[in-house]
Amino acid sequence: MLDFANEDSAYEAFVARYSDGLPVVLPTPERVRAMLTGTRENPDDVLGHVYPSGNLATVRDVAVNAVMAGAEPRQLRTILATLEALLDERFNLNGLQSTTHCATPLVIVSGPHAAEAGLAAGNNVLGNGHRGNLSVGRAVRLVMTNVGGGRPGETDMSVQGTPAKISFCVAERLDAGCWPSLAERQGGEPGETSVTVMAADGPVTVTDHRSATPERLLRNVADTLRHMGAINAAKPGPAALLLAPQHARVIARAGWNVADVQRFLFEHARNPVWRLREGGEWDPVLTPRMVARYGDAEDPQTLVPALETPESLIVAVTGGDSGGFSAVVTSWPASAVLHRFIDADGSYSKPRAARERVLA
Amino acid sequence: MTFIVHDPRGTHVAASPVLAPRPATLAGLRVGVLDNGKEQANVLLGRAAELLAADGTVATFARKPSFSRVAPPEVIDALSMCDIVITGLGG
Amino acid sequence: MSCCMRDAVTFEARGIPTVILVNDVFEPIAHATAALLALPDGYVANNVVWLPHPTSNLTATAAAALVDERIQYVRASLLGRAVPQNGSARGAGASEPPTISFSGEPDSAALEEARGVVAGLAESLRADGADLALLRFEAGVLQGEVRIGELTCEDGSCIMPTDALERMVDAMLRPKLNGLERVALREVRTTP
Repeated sequence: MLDFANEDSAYEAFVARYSDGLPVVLPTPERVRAMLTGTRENPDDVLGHVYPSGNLATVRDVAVNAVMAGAEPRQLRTILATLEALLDERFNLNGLQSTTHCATPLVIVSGPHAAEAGLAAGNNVLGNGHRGNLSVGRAVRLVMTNVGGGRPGETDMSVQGTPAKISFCVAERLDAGCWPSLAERQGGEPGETSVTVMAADGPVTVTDHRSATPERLLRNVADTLRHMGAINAAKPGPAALLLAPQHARVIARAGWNVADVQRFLFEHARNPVWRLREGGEWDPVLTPRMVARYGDAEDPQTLVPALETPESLIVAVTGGDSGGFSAVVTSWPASAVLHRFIDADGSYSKPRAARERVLA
Repeated sequence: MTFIVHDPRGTHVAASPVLAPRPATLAGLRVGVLDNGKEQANVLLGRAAELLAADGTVATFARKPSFSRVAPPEVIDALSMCDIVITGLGG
Repeated sequence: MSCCMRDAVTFEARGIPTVILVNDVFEPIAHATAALLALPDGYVANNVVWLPHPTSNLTATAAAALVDERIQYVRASLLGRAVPQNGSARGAGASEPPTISFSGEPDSAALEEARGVVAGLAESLRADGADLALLRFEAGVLQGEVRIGELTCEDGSCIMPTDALERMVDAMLRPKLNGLERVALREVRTTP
């Protein structure tokens, strides 16, 4: 516990040292107790080491930072599930916290618990105004900072960062009427909610109000996905497509399912070798080796995908119904996309092995 | 002090280095003598090695190129066939 | 001397017990380095043999006599049977530093007490012709200067690098200084 002369000096100290730069809610014993009612887990249960500091985070430590983020107790299960995935060594949080790349965890919550947790999936889902979404993202960032020791200029060497480092959390629209939810496609049981994390760049908008066919719409998406500025161009890897419901309906009405979308984008979000050589992250030794997985590295016309496999693309329907704006999110390469499940009854008390599933 | 809040930093955990088991006797052991290069270190450590030789040890000597840096790998390797090491010192 | 301790840890990891002979003026650095390296309690007491400072100006006879007197502690340490050492100018252990509460005010009593905690370290640095001054403690940052004077080597390599000193001061003060976020030391050359 920390002991201050008064609330004002505690407030100043926390803003200066334990925040994301904005004021935080002080984690008094009463507030932390109240936050812990949001989970059935034992507060002393250890989630794991948070790198780069290696400090151990318990359920209580997460609750402390959740209070600071402004979260409500009903968001705690989502925050815990997110952190469990982040602390999996396959996610490589240590690397993400110290890279010069401007990446941050994207959190996608898919399933009925999202609404119970007060998470928004509709209009302006990536923007301001949604306390639940912003608190989840913020709590995760505060744990990364305060427990993990990832601090700008000290261990966090991100050159420019991204506004998404403040918070980057969306819930999926379950009522778009197009396809099974992301959770169901990940193998979730009925009623389960998945929390998916990806080490992500900031979102890039795809504007399209004209396309009436999947091909025309997804060619726009493909062009955004394969853009040379994304590391995906030189290192095929995961990406996320946050599809507006309007766009999802254009695709679904033509009889396409998510696998069709993934396959189309795997084929079309590509760069020819000659373009890769002309600019971007062309490494004379490593890039040809990578290209050889997809074709002749010496042939300037060989097309190199931005996605490692069709399944590397995470597709979630999110956003309002008012127009045709989707978001493409490219990724930081040295990390795996992971997810965890929250049980149908909203609890999060299954043994870890039973909860763990990795998106292939 | 009157205003108490939770510490958001979690629990610091330091991994402790492993220490080697100590021998029961010095007789017959090879002692590595790592001189850090400071003034008179070689004299003092040399004398220690002489005295330990009377206990039945055999000494191998090495000197660090700089006392304000850790020993370079080749120096560490040169003494790694020893059973015990003494090092230091000076000022 | 912290490099000697790091070398010792390297040997220990290879299964080679190591004893370090150290001039007693470096006792605070020895304890601070052991804390920094997360060595177990008692590591310094069990594996460091103290020699009275200075040793650089001893005659050959005096040097031999000193080692003859201290070798018993070297033997005992190597065999894992360290005994309390007599005759060292400082004695066996550092005294317990005071607990410091965070006051939030710059240049507060906390800063004075921090100076007391590192006084021994500063004295060790003065033995090498340098000095450590803690100047300000504000918003969790302890600011200070490492003053490198004329008795140190030209390139400043006789004392440990400033970032290592920062980590050392941090390790010494963190358990005692509530609210310490980080230590920031600036290197200052005081030679003309």
